[in-house]
Amino acid sequence: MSDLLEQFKRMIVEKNRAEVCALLPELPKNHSLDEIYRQAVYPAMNEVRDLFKARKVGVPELLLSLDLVRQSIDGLSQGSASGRNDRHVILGVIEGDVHDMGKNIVHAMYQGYGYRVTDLGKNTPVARFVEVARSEKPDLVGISTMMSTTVDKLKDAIAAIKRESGAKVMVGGAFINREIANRVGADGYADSAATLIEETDSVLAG
Amino acid sequence: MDQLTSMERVLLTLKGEETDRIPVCSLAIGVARQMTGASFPAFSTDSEVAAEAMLYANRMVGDDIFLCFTDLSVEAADFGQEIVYPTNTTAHPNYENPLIKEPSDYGRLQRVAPSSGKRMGAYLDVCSKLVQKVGQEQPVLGFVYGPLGVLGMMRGMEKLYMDVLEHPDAVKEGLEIVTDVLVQFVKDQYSRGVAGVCVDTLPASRSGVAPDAWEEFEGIYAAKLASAIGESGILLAHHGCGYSPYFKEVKKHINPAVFSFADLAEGCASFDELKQTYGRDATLMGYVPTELLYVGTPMEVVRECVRQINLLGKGGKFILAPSCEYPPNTSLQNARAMVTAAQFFDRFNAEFAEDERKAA
Repeated sequence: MSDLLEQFKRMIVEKNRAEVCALLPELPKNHSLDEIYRQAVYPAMNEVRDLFKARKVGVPELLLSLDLVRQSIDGLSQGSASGRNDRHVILGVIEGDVHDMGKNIVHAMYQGYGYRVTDLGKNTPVARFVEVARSEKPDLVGISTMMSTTVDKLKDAIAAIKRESGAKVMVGGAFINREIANRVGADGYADSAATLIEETDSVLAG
Repeated sequence: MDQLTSMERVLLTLKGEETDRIPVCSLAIGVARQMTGASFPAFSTDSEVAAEAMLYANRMVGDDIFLCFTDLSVEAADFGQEIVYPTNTTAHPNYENPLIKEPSDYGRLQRVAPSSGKRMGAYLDVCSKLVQKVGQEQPVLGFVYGPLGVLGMMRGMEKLYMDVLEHPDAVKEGLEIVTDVLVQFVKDQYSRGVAGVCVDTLPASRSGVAPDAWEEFEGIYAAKLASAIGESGILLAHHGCGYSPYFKEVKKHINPAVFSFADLAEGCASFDELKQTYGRDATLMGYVPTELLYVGTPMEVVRECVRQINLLGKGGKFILAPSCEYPPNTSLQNARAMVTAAQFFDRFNAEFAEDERKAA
């Protein structure tokens, strides 16, 4: 790996926004997008995820590193770099819930690993999930909720999405555990950002 | 059946002395509004409605402790944060319109008098009403959301967490202002006659900031709340429903008499270790999963309660409670199941042991 890519990766892991911004214009002059992703962005994502998993950093550090990844991807590709692997994910927080920090972390994780992400935001009606899933035919729909008050809507959404689009559905959020995920009919459940990608691989392979 | 009053049972439990049964705190808050058909907005804003609903829910469930609480937006609302009051769920800030839009806004927060605030004032009225009605027989606990949590309601947790790293001094300015108001809020709750105050520091867990960051950004501020509660001579409880809560750091800064929790504490390998390490000085309160209360049958809840009483109830100093607020849109049946499990613990325990013996 070049010194430039190594430094870029390190600055993401160390959450140094100023350095990341300074390096961004230099990267495309010396490396292809593919090299930048494979040699810097993905390894940075792996390291950040491992640090979080090992409890060496907290949610703020995870958020900031992911924000720098998001900023880098947008800067490098003017927003067109997502979809570097061929998977497409639709994400949203279910109707009745406005807590979107977890969903935003999931968005950044997927984006950092090259998924194409369609983010429907928070408080998303069931009909909107279904409409977009039907028209965009994603590989996966991810639905988040923090609350118990939205579980019935979650169940409705999962049934309708599967019926109308055939997409797999994963769920997550503070109130969800694997038992509730099973009861609402989800194909998978991720308990944290640390396990998201492995769970996704498992669901899509199934 | 019960031989002690709730007050006697709870006080003996806190002292680590023998009781007739494990006390229960159902944390049936928002769900209580179903008792009178009250709406979520009325429950959050009308002290008469909230107090009446909580009283009836307690009579229905039969639990021992009142946690006087409506929702987490109370403090932020009186700083000027716009709050949304949905009809089908709990009140929350309008996150599209945060009061703290930029890091420089932390220092612009205005100190307010809690008793004059629309929401904190109404909340204090709920405390008064509950204390007047039941305060002699049952402990009524007040509640205060921790300083970092209150800032999160006015900034959005995601931005607040990044500000902690990128604009730490600005965040601390806000924490100083918020803490001053919360200290007065705690004193006002004491003046209403509550038996104790529960301090909620959600970020003190792996769902929040790292342990050292919690000490720097909330622990030292929460300690001021603890001092005010301690000076009042009332009980200090702590609630933290995050993943892997930081008991060690929480103990260092606020040393609560009660730990209400949802998960095994950071650094503990087992619940035995948790009990040995923290459950001798303090009373443990937990940790029936809210997910189970939502989807489980009453007998599944009873089984889990019996398991937890066996796990944490030995030697007293244990209060059976949900891991967090009882799910507000489900029935109260499983709250009642928790009390039933405590009341008939010996009988259920023997039956379940017999079931296991037969299965083996």
